[in-house]
Amino acid sequence: MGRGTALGPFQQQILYVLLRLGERAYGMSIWQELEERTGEAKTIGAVYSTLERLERRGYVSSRMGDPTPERGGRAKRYYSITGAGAMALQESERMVATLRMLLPRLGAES
Amino acid sequence: MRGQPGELEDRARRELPGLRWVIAGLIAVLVGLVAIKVVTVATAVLAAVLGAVPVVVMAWAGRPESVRGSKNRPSPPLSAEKLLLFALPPRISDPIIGDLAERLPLIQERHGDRFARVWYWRQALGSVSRFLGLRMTGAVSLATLARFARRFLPL
Repeated sequence: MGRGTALGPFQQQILYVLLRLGERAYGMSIWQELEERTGEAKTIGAVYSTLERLERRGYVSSRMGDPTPERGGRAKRYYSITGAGAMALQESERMVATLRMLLPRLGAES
Repeated sequence: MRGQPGELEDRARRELPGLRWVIAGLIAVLVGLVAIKVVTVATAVLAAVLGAVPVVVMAWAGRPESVRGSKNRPSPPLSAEKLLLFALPPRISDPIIGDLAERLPLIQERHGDRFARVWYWRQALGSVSRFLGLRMTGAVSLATLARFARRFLPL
């Protein structure tokens, strides 16, 4: 696994949420889902800055929706995971699984 | 070779007369880029500081309700919204302001008007500082580039 494909924990969480929400994934829905599932109160800026980083790496793509009155006439930006993002997530899972397999051996050695 | 720096310099000056100008040009471009970054970061810091003033004033004065808001549909604090518009990249500021406007009525209903305003300001300042962090990362990499230039260019 190249160094450039490594994902941080928050990046992984966001990619999982994107997979779960599918086409309904935009800033607020991602944020709410993260808050409900992890119990951590991040700012909306933390979510967007991470999405920006992921988009720059090609793991996420985005498109603008239509403006709505309940949002003060502002449009939503919808996000979706790309093929490269799904592969990076799988690779992260594989890496963690490999590292986890080492734990009993380390325990036996000590 | 280290004991004759003057000779080397004379030789370089004879053989590559334009080298100094090229290096000077590169340095000028580098300084320009760093200056742009410094101005950008300074502007964002100033905006964050100025944006925090109304929070302190509101907390001190204990204003009962938002000037622009109503009981049914609260309006976000105008200064916080301006701060977001000013400090965030345009492609992000619009969706963030929309998201906060969408969530604000729920927060107000659950926790009250004052809490909702403080919550909005917390979100706004947190968001600005996050994106400021991204910009400062860029500034740091320029500084690293400048250090490399100083170390490896024959000045």
